[in-house]
Amino acid sequence: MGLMRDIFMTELMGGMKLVFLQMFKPSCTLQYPHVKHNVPDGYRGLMSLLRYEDGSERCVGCSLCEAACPSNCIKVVSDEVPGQPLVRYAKEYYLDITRCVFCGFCTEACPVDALAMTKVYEASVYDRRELMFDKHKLYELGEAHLADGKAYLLAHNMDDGTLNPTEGLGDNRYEFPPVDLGEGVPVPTTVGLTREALEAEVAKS
Amino acid sequence: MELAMTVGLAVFQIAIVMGVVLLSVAYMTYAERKVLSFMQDRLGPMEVGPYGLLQPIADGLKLFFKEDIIPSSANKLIFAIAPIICLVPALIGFAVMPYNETYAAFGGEAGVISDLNVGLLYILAFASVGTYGVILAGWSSNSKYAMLGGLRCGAQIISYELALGLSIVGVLLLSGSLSLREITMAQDGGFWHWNILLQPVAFVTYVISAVAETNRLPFDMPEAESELVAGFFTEYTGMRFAFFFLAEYANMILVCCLASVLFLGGYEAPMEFLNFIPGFIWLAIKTWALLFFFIWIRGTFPRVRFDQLMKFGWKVLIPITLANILFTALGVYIYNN
Amino acid sequence: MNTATQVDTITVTINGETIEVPKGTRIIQAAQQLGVEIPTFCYHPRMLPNAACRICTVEVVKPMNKMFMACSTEMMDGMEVLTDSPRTLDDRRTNMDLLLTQHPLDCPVCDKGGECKLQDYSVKYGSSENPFETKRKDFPEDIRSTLLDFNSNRCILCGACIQVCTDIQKVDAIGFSKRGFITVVGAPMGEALDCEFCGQCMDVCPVGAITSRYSKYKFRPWQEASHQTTCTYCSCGCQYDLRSVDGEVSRVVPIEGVGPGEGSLCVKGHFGFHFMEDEERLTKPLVRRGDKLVEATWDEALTEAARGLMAAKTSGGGSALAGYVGGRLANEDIYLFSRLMRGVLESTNLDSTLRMGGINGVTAAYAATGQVGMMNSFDELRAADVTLLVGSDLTEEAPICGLAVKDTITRGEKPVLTVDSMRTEIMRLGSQRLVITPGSEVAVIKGLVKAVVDEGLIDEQVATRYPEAVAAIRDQLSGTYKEIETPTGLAKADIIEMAKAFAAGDKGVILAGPRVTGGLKGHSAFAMLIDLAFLTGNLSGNGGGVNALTVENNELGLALMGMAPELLPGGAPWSDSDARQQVADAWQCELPDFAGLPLVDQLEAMREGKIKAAYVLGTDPINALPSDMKAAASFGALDFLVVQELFLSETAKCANVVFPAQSYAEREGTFTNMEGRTQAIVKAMKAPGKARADWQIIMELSRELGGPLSYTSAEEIREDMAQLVPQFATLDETNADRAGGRQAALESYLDGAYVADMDYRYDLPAKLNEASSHEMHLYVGDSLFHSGVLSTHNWGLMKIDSVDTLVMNSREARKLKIREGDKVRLTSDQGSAVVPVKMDTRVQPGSLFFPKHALNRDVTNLAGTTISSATEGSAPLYKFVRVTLESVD
Repeated sequence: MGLMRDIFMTELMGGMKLVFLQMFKPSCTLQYPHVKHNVPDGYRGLMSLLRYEDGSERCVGCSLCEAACPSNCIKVVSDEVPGQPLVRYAKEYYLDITRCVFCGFCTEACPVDALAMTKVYEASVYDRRELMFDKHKLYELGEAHLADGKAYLLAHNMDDGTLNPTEGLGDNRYEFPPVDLGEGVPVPTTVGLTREALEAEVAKS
Repeated sequence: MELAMTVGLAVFQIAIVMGVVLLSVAYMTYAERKVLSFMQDRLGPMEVGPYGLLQPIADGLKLFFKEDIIPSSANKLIFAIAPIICLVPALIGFAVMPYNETYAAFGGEAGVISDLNVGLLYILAFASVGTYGVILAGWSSNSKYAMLGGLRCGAQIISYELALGLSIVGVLLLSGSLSLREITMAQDGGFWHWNILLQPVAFVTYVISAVAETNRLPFDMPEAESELVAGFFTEYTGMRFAFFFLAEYANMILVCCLASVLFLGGYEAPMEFLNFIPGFIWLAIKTWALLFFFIWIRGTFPRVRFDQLMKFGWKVLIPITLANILFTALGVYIYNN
Repeated sequence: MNTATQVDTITVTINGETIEVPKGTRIIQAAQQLGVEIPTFCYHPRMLPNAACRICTVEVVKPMNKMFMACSTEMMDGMEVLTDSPRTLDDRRTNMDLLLTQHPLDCPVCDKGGECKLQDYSVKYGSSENPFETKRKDFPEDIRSTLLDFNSNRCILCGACIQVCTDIQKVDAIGFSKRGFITVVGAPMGEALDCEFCGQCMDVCPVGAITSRYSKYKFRPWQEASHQTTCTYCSCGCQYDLRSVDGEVSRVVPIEGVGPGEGSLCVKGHFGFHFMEDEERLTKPLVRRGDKLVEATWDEALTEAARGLMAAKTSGGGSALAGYVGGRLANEDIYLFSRLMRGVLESTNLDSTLRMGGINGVTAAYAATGQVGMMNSFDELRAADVTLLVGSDLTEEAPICGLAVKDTITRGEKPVLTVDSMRTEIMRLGSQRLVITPGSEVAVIKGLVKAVVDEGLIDEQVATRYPEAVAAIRDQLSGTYKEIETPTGLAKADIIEMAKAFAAGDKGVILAGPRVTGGLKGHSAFAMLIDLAFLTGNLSGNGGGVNALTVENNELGLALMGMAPELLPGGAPWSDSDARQQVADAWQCELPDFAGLPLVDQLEAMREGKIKAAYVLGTDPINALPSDMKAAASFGALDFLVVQELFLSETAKCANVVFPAQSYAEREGTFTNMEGRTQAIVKAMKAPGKARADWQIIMELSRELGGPLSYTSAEEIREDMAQLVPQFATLDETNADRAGGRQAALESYLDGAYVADMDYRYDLPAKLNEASSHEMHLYVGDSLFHSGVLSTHNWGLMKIDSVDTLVMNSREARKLKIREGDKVRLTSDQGSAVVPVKMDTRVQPGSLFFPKHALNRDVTNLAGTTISSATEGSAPLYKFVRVTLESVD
């Protein structure tokens, strides 16, 4: 038997048969970029910063994302919001996307759900410098992909469902304590930095 | 006048054969990529033209416009001519390949460019010359990878040429001629006259040897990527690289054509009633079937080790072919008497 | 130390490990010795246990089975303790749960996040589910204070901040108010906090309830780089951890138990870390081109400076050159400067800010005892039985030294006697006080010596062993008390009482401030204090001693490096030819054989054209000296002036070449504090622009001048220095052989030193009784929040105290109908100045105080400077001014 098998090369024939039949199976190639992937909600694409419904920044600049980042690609410079004592925000936020490993630890570390990953995976640019995302760019991404960001947070169980926009202003908003500036001094409302203020800041710099 | 007609006929046939061969080479690359892709659940080239049909042309253009780099420490002359030495023998073999039944053209008989009575020897002889191209390319590159590739190629081709030649001897015994046309015509009258039925062992050994002869997987030791980068043409770029590429594919077509002629009846139809289909189409079908087989085994088998290759050639194939000759000779002797 | 063996020891067992500890050791201390960690919020090694936080609970198995607080329980012999038994952990978990019922979850925005004990212990000892009802407090955060923010929501009411304020800092600025769940910590009566801003409450706070406004949200502990370095403000030389984020200083953190302060810091050290980053810092060398100073390369500037100095030297020899150094330079810089001036430029006209009075403490001490620097370490100050503080507002001038004195009051309950013209903080806390007429320190000191001699308070051993010395002193004190009572305004009985109190103590420590050494007859006054110490038996190695307090951080370094014409490296006088030869041998050069001129004479020589070029480092004489000393005219008359500075000072503006130097945070080096401890500074941040370390600049200038100086690091220079001045051989030497040093001091004293100038010493100056048409006494001195001009470049400190205000007695102000903030005109013989007024009881009626650092130079310029005699250190006396005050409406 063994000899016959050797002479007729049955094992080789078996392999060839398998390969031949494989030809008729449908291909699994996706014709990217003509056809795009249907990305699931939990997809970890480009990072973005989110705002509250009222347009103020969620980020309180706690640097926990920076601490959680395994590739050290995040840099947070926090400060007080100008004119609003004790209200903390990220004065500057840098994310070096060339070093980002898309692990999503930063979003998990974020206590106020300010960080979310979008479904954007086409990050190629012609200039490497464009891949050093600053705060402005991250908020732009967050605005452009707000739904994705919220879906991401839901998919990753980082939200108790309050993000659902149908139920109104749902957010993990951090309430800063009121401030005692002494008598006669108005206590500022703690809204954080608004979009207009940010834009003004960007325009200034 | 007669000379002019002879020349005209020759030029006409050369144009046809070369045109078809070169186009086939081009689309062989496409077919190989496509078939391999399908075997691997992929799509293969899809971007250039519909279903990637223009890919070979794009590749050709690309290679044509690429910079031609000759390594500074290479032997420039040999380095430059090695690809040509490689390509020419691969193409020249088609001169004796009967591609159709005899037909009239330019006041003469066409169907083969030149019906040499030693056509088979001619092909084998030129196939061996092609080996020089490879060895010289490997040597002249002055690179260890190329050198090793060239040496492996030399050793491999010498070994398998023996087996290849010996496999054919059976067919020669049966047909009693070295002219390919006559061999074809000897298989006339239906597929049961084909040599493959009389010489199955020789066919198998021929095909295996042919695969090795053309440096194809699983016997592509001279250009084993994982060990030798690209083997003997590691240092080649642009058009010279393309020549090697062309030569490889032209060689494949040549050996497949030869296999069709020797064992599968050449341009003969398998059944009488199919004679309305022109002979060259039958030849093409048979050749492409064999080429598909080449791709198929490429898609199936892993590369063998060099010592395994040599052992198989010398210790298995050659004894088998010798035994085949012996039995065939006996058979022919008994039949004739 | 040999008494340690006599202390009873007990044997105790913690977690199965047995250890022998002295009696009275608490469980937590014994556990620390074994390396067992017991969690605690409120325990602090330098304070008595408070036992407020209840987290340090441990299980005591033997002799009774009970839970105890590890921080407050003193161990008994044979005690067995378990620190992580199930019962302990259970108790701790409950405690954590209780603490967390109200603590807000604002770790992300809390500056303590990452180094918070509550965070750490929750992870380690807490549970994930809190069985108690949790309710977040919602007190408004108190940010009314300039510097410290109080977030009562985060407060766990451990009381450590209040305790440190009460026990260590002794200012009682904060306390609990209200009761129960709404208890909050803050300034009394709900006022905004306005205290010394030492920031110690913030340091001991285990949570983020007290945070600094200056570092608010600027850092995360894990982002910071840590650099142990030496404070550069006063002469205490505190060690602290300079933290930086991305090369920018984020805050200063004390290091517990390290350095002279043992982990205490004052406002300057703690919050004055901004001057390095000031935008006015010099970043490039400047060279004078016509009327303007223009930026130049180092090569240009060095060549220009070398050319100018060399031209002066060739035309007038070494005596045509002068050098003047500030007390903020590192020892290495001073050493190299000394070598450059004396060795390379062959000039002895070399002076420093020691001249402002510090020199008297050095020369008098050296003459009497053969030593330089404080006789007692800060540890010995803490252990003193009685402390006599003369002429120093210690808590303002040297706050950490002040803490050591406060410690004797708090912990030892020992008497502290104060003699001063101001009602200083120590005076208020101390047991006895003599408030004197400004400038009459020398008279009081004589009075105290007289009282000791007359009232038979001389130490018995001293009287029997060294009768000649006692007799020699007694001979000088034949006068009546009248000559003392008149200028000081004191009663005889008060002086005698204080002398009795001082003589009654066993270990008596005398601290003499800048108003003694920099006052009238400073040299003699300090010498009399040495006599006083001798007579009361405190020069005999019992732990007492006499100590001159220095002002600038490296003043002692200046003295040890011989930065005055009459001094040599090591503190020996220039006149000592053996010592001079030793220096010359070490430097392998010939020292010039003419004695140099002190600063005042230098200034005159400059105006006369005898001095043609000068090199000024790290000080600003034009700004610091009153205008009647004509410093501006003097430096202006020079052919060539080189200034090396951090900022473009007034003097630098007159310079031909200005070199930008590096601050203490940008380079390596050492400072010697008033105790005599040599401590290192380290590079913590990048220097701005092209600024270089002082020693590098001096070295390169020397190279341009063809001098031999060549070093690759500050370390190398220090090794070189140690050959001449052994004090520099070891760093952080806390327990230098002070007992042996004192014995040598006594021997030196008895070896004839005490009789030198004896007649002159006890002769009170006539100027004491000089009448003036101006009835008010103005004193221009140091204040807590600033240290010289350097700190005025600190926006942080300027925010706390920026206005140049005159301090006057509240009652007197009321009498004159002057309110806080009103402007007054001060008139002296030299001119007048208009300044706003602040009330304080610190100043006695008839006196006024104005800060030395003030940007308003009008007040300084009121002074009519007198120059003390060469014996008294040729010090320019301008800090006491007689003025007339009138209200400006």
